[in-house]
Amino acid sequence: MSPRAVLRLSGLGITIALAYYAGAAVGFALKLPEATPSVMWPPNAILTSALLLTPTRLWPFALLAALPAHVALESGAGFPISLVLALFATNCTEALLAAGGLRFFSDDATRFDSFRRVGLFIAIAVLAAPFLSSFLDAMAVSLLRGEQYWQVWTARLFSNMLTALTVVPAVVTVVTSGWQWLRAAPRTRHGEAALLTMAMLVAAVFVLRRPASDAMTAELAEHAALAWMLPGLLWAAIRFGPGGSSLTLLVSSLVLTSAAVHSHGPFEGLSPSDTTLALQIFLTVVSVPLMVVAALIEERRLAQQDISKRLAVEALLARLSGAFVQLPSNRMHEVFDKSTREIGESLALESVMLFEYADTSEQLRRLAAWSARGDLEPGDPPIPDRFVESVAARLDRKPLAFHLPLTTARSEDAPGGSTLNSVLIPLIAENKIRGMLACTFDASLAQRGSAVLEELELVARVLANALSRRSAEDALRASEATKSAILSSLTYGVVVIDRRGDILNVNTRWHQMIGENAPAAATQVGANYLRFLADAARSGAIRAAKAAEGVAAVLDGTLDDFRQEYLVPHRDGERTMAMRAVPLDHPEGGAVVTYVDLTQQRRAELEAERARAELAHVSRVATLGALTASIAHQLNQPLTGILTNAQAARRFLAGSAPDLEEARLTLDDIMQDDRRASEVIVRMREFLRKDTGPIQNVDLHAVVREVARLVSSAAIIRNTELILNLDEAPAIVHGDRVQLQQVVLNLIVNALEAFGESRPSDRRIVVGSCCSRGDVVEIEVTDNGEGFKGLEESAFEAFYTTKPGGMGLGLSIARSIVEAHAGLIRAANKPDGGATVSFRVPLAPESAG
Amino acid sequence: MTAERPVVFVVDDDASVRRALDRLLRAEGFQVETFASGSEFLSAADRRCGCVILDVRMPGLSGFEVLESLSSRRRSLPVILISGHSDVPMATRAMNAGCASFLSKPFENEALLTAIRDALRACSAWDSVPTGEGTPAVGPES
Repeated sequence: MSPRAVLRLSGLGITIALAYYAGAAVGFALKLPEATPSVMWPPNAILTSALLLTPTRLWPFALLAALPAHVALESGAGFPISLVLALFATNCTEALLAAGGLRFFSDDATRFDSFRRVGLFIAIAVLAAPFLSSFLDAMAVSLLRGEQYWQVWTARLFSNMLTALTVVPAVVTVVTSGWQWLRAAPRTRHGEAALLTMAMLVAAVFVLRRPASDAMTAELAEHAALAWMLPGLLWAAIRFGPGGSSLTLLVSSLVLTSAAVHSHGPFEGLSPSDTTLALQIFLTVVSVPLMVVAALIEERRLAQQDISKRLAVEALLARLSGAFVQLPSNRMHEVFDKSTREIGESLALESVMLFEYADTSEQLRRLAAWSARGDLEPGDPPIPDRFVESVAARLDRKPLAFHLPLTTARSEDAPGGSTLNSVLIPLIAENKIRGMLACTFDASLAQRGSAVLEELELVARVLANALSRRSAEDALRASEATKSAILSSLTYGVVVIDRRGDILNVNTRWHQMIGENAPAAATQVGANYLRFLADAARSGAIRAAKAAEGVAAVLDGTLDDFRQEYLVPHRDGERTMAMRAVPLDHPEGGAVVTYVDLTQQRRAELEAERARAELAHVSRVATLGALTASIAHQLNQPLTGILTNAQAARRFLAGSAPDLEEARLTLDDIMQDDRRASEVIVRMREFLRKDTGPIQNVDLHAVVREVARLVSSAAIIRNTELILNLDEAPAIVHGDRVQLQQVVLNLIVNALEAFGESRPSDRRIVVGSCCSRGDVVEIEVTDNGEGFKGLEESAFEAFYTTKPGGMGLGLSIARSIVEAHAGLIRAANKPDGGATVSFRVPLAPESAG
Repeated sequence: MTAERPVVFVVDDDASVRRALDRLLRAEGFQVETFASGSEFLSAADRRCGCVILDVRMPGLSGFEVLESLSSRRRSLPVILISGHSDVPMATRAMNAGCASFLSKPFENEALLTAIRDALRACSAWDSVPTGEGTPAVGPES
């Protein structure tokens, strides 16, 4: 046992002994002459009070502590020791019966503030215990002192009943809540108590004063003694509860008894024992209803207090809920601090701390903290954050109330010891722990125990819902933010509309695209997009009417995909725009309309087309350059004819008898040769034309024949046989004649060059046509040269060449032309040597069979 | 003087050139025979005295091949090569192959006639080679 405990125990023992001694002294003082029993015998009541106020395990100690005082007193009175001990035993019996019975039956044996508690107290401590113990008492006294048994029993019974009734509640109430009442009650109550005390004193003075000389007045005064005391008793019962009531009853009893002892008061004239009994019965009868009235009033007051407390809690819950409901989640943090203060103040807590689980981690984060004793230092909360965190990790969704020995400087200053009661309540919403509510409260509140816990659980539910809503709203806001970030990052304009055409969402790019001219109100979320299009159509916007039709068709489900391209005037020139509407993937329907600015793309495509044409032209020039010898040969033939014929004609015309007929034939030949030469030149000029010709119906077979003529000389020069194996029927395709000539020319020249030096004779190129399908024509150029040395598919790559000095453009350009004519070109080596390059293009619709 | 006049054979795939040469040479008094290809000429050629005007670039046998064929047959017929597409290597090749003359198309009549006359000098029996003085040649039978 610690010295401190020893000290406390000794203090307790000494207090009990002194109280017992004082009580016995008072008891002796209140003895009427000739009457053995006292009107009041406080030691028993003091023992009962001591037992009620100490834990059961200390009861033997408490009883033993009283023994020396008892022995000292009773022996002093001249009683034999056997009687002294027997009386002590009966005193102890009464105290044990009273305290034990109350402990057993009452929910709180130290309180007298309800009808039930007072009723039990009267039944057990005031009636049963004295009734039973008095038998023993009477037996001891009658045996050891020869007094009459029933007389002793009656005297003892009433004495002990009255004492128990007046002393026990007074002592217990003063010990349990006297200090707190003095400390906590408002000044007005202190003032009222002082007034009551004064009134009681005045009444006591009136009762105790000597009788007046006027006999009539004296008799009145003596018989009215009780009347003097009654207002004070009623006042106390009504205004000061069972504690105040029992105190005034005690005082009144002492005063009246004292008056009786000194032969004053209402019972003058009776024998001492009758006076004693009359006094006892009178006081008991007065005390019981007063006690009950006081208890009822206190019970009602407590019930009212409870209701108002409940109302306060409910008002607090309503305030908290209201504060959280009205605020958007991103502003909730503003009220967390205020809420902890309100919770603390409303529930009279010492401190309140609110923690939240961060979504991304298991760690608790303190959101707010409040302390009744002033601002909390961040590092010095009543319950350390780390403690809360470690306890929270072990909590299984149930609140945990505990005593936490606090070692902070502040807690050591706390009155009433260094231990505060604490509670940790998990904040659970939607089946998920959102955080923790940690509270500390002082001992007086701890007595209310489960009630406080219930209130805190209600508060916790509100806070949990607030946290849950906050995290849900935060998540929603984050997802909204992500979506809107995606929308605004898109390089194309987006308008999302519901099935009525009302705008659900738009991005800034769209607003930039439609320009400053569009009225802002008509293009914001909530405006009707179809109306915007209709207005635009009325004000002459290009294609707006068609767009409105298309979008409406997508909205009513008749169209899956609507697109259109259009040009809009712009300060930098025309812009090419494309819009597209597709259904919104949503049960309610709706559509997503996207706008893309294709200007750059179209510009790039035109640029690429121009570059391709440029390259094709360069390639044609290069091809013709390679054919210089052939062309020279083709031109030289007619020129030779012309020159020779001209000289012959001069001969025919010279001399005396010009041969005019021969000269005329010669001139015909000259003209024919001239035409031949000019045809070659025209063909070449056409071929070298830079701009592309018109897209028209072209006979691909005729194109092949023209090219064959162009390269015939080249074939001859290269000692190669060029064989045309074409269908008789024309193959009409829709395209550019010069470009198609270039394809055929490139293929034939490529074949001509395929021979290299490897095959000096029997060089052969066959150009054939076949209509593999009804709607396409295929031209095939086959040679018996060396074939492709690399991969056939590489043959069409630009600058891919296997020939020394070649540019590697011929087949690549042929491919781009064929593809521009919606055709296909391919190359393959033949198994028996040589290669075939073929291309197919669609026949013009009207000629396709 | 033999009764046989020297013959100028013209071998060219181009009909127009053939006809023009035929017309001109006949006007100059030569006996002319024309062929559209080398193989046609080779199959028809006989041992008559004369010369041949041979186009270099022709479908089928080229002028050089005909020339080679003639030398392999030990046919000492002077050959004048003409070409619409001529260059120095071709001319060198022609001379090396033993041709009498090499002319680029189109050519001046005088150059051709001179070449023919030079070639026909080999025909010892031929004493009246057309002079080309603007008068129709007078053949032995006329």
